Amino acid sequence: MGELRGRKTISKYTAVVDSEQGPLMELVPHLESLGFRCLRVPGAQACVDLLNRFPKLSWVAVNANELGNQADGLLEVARRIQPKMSILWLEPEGMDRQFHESVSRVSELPDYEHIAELVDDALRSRFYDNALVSSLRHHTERSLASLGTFAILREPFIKASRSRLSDVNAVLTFTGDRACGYLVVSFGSTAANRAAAQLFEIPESELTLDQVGDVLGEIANRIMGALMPYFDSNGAPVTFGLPLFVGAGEEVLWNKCGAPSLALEFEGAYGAAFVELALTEFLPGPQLLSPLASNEFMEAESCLFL
Amino acid sequence: MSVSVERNSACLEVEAAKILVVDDSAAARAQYRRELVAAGMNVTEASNGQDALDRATVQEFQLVVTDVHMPTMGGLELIQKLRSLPNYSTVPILVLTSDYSRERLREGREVGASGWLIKPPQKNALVKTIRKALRPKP
Repeated sequence: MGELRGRKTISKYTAVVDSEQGPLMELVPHLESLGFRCLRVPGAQACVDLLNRFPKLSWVAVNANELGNQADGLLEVARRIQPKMSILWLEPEGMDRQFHESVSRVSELPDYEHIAELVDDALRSRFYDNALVSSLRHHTERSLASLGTFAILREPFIKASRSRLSDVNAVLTFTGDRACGYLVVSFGSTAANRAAAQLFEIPESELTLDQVGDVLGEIANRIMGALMPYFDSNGAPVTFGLPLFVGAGEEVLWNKCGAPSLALEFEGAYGAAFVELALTEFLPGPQLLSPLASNEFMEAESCLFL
Repeated sequence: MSVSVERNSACLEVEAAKILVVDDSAAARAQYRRELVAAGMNVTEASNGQDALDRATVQEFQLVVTDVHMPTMGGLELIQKLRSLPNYSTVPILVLTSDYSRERLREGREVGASGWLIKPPQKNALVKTIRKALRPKP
């Protein structure tokens, strides 16, 4: 447990190796909008120093045009010190270099949105691996389907941990020795009321706020329960409590420390629904007893007879 | 012919079975109730383990469906208490929960749960499972 003592929360630092007026500096506002602090580094040696002294960088963008013959050295050091850290490498075609798999190479910056997508993908995979992303998506779809038809609007994406609160929200916090965070399920009031009225088979005018909140809380409960095997399999088991109901308009739930949120946006017949997962801390440990594979239950009649 | 009649009466018993559904979420109970009533079953709801125990001691149910994590009394404690009652020593008790850790499953087996389903059950899965659990053993 010694390594847990004095641990820091997830760090959200990125670095841009470029001149003050360089093209990569255009990415800084986008990184800041995702809740990251962005350090500008003027050259290869300064970047090497930073990598050595600050091993928790989340992401680095490098304008190799500025580096000259120091570019290969920087790549080598980055691979050695932080082999899994994603790097965006800006350099014209024609240079023959050995890139490791976490380097995304672009030859120019013609399409800022495309570059922003590369940044988002890199940062998303840094904090939320594919297993967690697909599990969140699958189980959210299943849970929402039990209330009616909701179609996902776009792929899961990351955003600053300022969870948008819609009209009706269920917030479920989870804690453990090695992981903690929260899950938010948000509905517009029309969608929430229609879903609850349909479920309870009563007119919307007779609905109570408790009933509406109960529907969202149950969705959050089902999603979170389904995510527990992921945390178990990463040696970071968590427990979660009862959902907290929050009625809000344009309010936000601001988590200054953790990772950027992993967000999903759904569209239903009566409006949109949002689901956000935010990790405040995540420190994978030795794998626990393997959780049950979901297909042990999901096949056939979905029941395991004991 | 007599075999066929026996089978039909067994089916009727299953259709009209009295089911106790235990969950602290009113939304979850409403969802299960709708499915089970549509299948011809009689459903009684309880919002936690103690509520369920109170109901089970004054009324006899052919099958119990319970969540695990509930205030006042959880599902596993409910199963343990039900199994100590003569009328419920062999009644099928299904756990329907979003918790599918091996640890919880082991605890469920120890206290006498008959089966384990994951929330949300797929369409008609709950009805099918109940029918299977109530089907007379050959």
